[in-house]
Amino acid sequence: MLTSDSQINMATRVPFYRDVKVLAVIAQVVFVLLVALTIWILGQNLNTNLKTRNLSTSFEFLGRTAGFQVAEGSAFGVPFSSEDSYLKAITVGLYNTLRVSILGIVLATILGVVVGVARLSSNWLVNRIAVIYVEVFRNTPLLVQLIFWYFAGVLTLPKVKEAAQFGGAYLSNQGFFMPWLVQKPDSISFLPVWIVAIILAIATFVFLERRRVNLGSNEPAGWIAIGVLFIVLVSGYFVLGQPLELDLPRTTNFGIAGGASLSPEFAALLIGLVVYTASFIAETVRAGIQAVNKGQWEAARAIGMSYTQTLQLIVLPQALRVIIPPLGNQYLNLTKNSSLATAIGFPDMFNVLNTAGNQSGFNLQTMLIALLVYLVLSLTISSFVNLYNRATRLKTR
Amino acid sequence: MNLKTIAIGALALTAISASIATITVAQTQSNSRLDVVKKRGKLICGVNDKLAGFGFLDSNGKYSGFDVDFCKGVAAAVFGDASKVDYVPLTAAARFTAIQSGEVDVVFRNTTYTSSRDGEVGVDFGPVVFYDGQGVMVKSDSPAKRITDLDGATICTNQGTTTEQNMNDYGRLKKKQFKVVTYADFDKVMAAFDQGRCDAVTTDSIGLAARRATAAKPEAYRILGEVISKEPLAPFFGQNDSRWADVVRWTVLATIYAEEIELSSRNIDGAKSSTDPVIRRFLGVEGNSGKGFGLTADFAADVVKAIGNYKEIYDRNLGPKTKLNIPRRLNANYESGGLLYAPPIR
Amino acid sequence: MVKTKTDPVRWLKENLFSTPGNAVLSIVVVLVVGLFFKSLLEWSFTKARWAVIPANFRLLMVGPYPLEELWRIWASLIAISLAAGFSWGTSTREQPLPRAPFVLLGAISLLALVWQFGNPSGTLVPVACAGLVAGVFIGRAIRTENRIHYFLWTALFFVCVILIGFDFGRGEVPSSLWGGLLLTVLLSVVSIVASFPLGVLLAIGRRSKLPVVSGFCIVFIEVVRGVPLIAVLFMAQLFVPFFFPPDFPQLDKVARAIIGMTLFSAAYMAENVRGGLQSVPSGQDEAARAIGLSATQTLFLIVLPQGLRAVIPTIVGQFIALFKDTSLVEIIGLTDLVGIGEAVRNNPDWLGVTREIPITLGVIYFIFTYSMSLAAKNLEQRLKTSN
Repeated sequence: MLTSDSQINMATRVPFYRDVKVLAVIAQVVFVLLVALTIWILGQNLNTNLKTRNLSTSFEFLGRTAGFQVAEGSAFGVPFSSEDSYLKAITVGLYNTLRVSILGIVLATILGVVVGVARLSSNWLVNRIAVIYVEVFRNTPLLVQLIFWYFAGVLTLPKVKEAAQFGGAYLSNQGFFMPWLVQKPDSISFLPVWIVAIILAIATFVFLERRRVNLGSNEPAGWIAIGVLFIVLVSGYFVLGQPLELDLPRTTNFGIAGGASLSPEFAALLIGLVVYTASFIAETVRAGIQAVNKGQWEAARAIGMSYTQTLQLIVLPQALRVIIPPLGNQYLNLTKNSSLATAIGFPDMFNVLNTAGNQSGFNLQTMLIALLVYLVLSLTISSFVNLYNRATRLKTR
Repeated sequence: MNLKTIAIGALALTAISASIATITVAQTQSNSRLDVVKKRGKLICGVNDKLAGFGFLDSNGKYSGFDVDFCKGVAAAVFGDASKVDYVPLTAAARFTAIQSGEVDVVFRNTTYTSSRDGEVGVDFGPVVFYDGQGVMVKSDSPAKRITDLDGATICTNQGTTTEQNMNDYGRLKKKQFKVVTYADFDKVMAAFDQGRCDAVTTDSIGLAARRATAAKPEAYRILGEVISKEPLAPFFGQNDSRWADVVRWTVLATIYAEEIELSSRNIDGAKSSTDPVIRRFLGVEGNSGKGFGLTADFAADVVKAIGNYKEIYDRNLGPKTKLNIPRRLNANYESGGLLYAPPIR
Repeated sequence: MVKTKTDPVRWLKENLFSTPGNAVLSIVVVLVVGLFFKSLLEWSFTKARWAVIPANFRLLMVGPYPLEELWRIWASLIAISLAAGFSWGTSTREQPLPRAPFVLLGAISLLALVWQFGNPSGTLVPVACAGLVAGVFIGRAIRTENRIHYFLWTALFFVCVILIGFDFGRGEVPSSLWGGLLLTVLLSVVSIVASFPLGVLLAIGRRSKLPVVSGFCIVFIEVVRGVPLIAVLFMAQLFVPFFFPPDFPQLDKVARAIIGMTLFSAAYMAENVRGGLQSVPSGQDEAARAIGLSATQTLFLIVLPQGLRAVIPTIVGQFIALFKDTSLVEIIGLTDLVGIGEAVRNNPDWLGVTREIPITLGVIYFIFTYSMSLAAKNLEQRLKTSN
């Protein structure tokens, strides 16, 4: 074969303009040139426009005093005031975005799994309600839902003067206020205890889970981990000399102060994101469960497992492989959708960047920052999903 | 082999794009906005669409208001026809980018003239059309009598405005805590205020008055007496374009000057026969006042004929016969103790 | 499954009370749902001020579109009805005529006649319905090729856009006056149509064996998919004019929103199309090359048609998502359905009306998206059986 091939080659040498390899290179060079040229033309226009309008392209404004408040949140624990820099204001926005996204992801997953399972329930009523839930929330725009939750939901709670009160907590349309442990002034920081407690709890959970899988022991890993968390926190509290005190919310001339609070904007955004995303997650979960072989159900039931046991121990773990990739997509969507906060006045990163851009006039820069940060967030989430995917992939030997 | 055709096609495309590029680059010498507007045959004016009295879009798709009238004035100055305007509604947050990006030619949208906006935001300002200050409005049943009584209160305003910053500065100065919550447009601010999310709202006094006057129950709101800032409201346009700046500037000044010399839309046609040299120059019968910046000699007459003098514009939109009924005070002519004073048109 | 008539007691026993746990669940659910619907009904019949909807109906439908130019919308609507009827008629030529849709259309016409008697909509809604029915019969009567639908709808698309915006002696209707549902539909239709060719090109580019081409396409697709639409829309509002020479005619807000939505949608379209291309078995490609088709011919004549056919339901799904996503233009200040809804909700004349507007908007969106998703399901089924 080889000889005849080379013979042909010898007989009719392919001219360079018919050689696929050469043509491929030429095509790519041309493509690069075209792209470069387009970019050059656009860049040229951009340049002239920026010059004629006397717009700066520097980022030095980030260090200047912002001069506006950010309604809630902190720069990852460091409080923000209007005398701080633009950069710090943007950091507060990022913190708010992460806060609402992480909490939203956790809650949406829980709600989504519940609705997804309910969608397959043998109980006709539960099943129908799950279907209606999914269809209603999937088929209407998130923005409309957010406007509804905010203006027609949270803001119709009792006014602050008539706030509902229970056990030291207040619920009003200026927010939910509840008693909270805060750092006593001049005491040792409690934050490290939190970190240690969480790490220990996770370690315990992972250890027990491994043991359960390997040895078949049957400890309630989740409960033990929560116990560990609790014990470390309590002992840390006494070891450090009781550095925390209970801060009770109290009514003032205007509204309520003190304690921990949840703003109406945060609540509405969280509810909106969770309810909307859960309707998509439910469909994913349903599809995942349905993808599990029916024999698995029957076998599990045959060896005497209950419906809940079968679902928890047999079906869901297998369904996860199908569910995870689209689930990751939903997490990504939730994070990106949190930028709709602008519509209801929650100071997420996009909203703060917008304000910063308008106050300083450096709109181009703030938009670029927004694009970059969202890209990084998206890439982080998708690489986490990929990692998980690789870890739980069916091991084919 | 079809790859060859692709390659040839691509080469041809490259050549075409390259020639387009040269044309494009060649054309990028900057023109005055005035030439762009004249070529287009229409003025594109950025306005508010939600502030009664200043810029408001009614349900029939018609714009009206004090600022809108000045848009018409500029169109009359350029084309001699006040109807040649397209309005673009802008939110407070979008107004500067609309000029930066060249989407609109000029913005008349109750905007405060400040040095940083003039210097850094990439816009230039025209003459002040309305002297205002920032006020605070509460519900009638609020305990607050003065702004400082609002310590600890939540105050709403719209995003990306000077009012957002002024409220902060005032709190710092008086050592009071104001929680400032912002929304993208003032409709949302009022909705949140009505529902009790905020204890007070703040914006230009004129904005508060307009909101109160057009509310279903005006008596439900109370505007606190103090004014915490200077808010000179002025039009703005793209930077470093003095010919276009002149057109906007002299359109506004013509209306002020017309009030001084008692020319109005009603008497201007008859005034042509006047022997007063001041009036003759204003009407372009003598001299060539508008030619210097690319307009006709009688541009000022066109403006006044179309929209009237400053007093007429004011009375039509904000005066005693309107729902708003705002006294002129600072916005009266200098001879009546106000701040309006126009350089002569000659 | 054989459907037999079971007595209700047995049905209840099987579906609601099969186990004690299920019984408890059912009772709790009935109580909760009952309470919810009771308060909902109570509110909507006693407290709600639904009058806000008919009073602002025209605004919600077309926004500030001038009254004297409304005939343009009606003309487009009637043309679309005719064409829709025609397409429906031709595609169901072999089947017996179903009765239900005609009854529904009749009911709608009657309702419009009675409720809006004397108003233009009272006569024009029945005309549009009649157009639809006429279209069905024309479609069933005429023998046509399938291709005619593509031409018909492409032509209709341009006719409608021209009809809605351009000058017919009395001046054009500038896009700043388009609003309400009209703007929502226009934005989503124009964006999806424009993003289709771009998406196909990107998908082909991503599959290309030339690393530079595929790299470029991958970067574009992933960057756009990694950022929120609202950021893309803001970028389009802000940046697009900077990339054109200063004396280039200004692109208005609507045009820039369309550019943003098209670029955004194209990245997603590319991924959908790529899925379709991958679903074409490689045997098709090899067979085509074996009978001597060139790479380009194989792509355009063999792989692409099959791949695109497979992703039609997915594209409908994307259109649904885009239709919902157009609501984001409210944030950049356009008066689409949501934007107008907000304006109406904030109108001082309707103080205290908060829930009625978002609920109505939700219902309008739901009617559109849900019927489209039903159509997508139907289409999927038909494609499956025909393969």
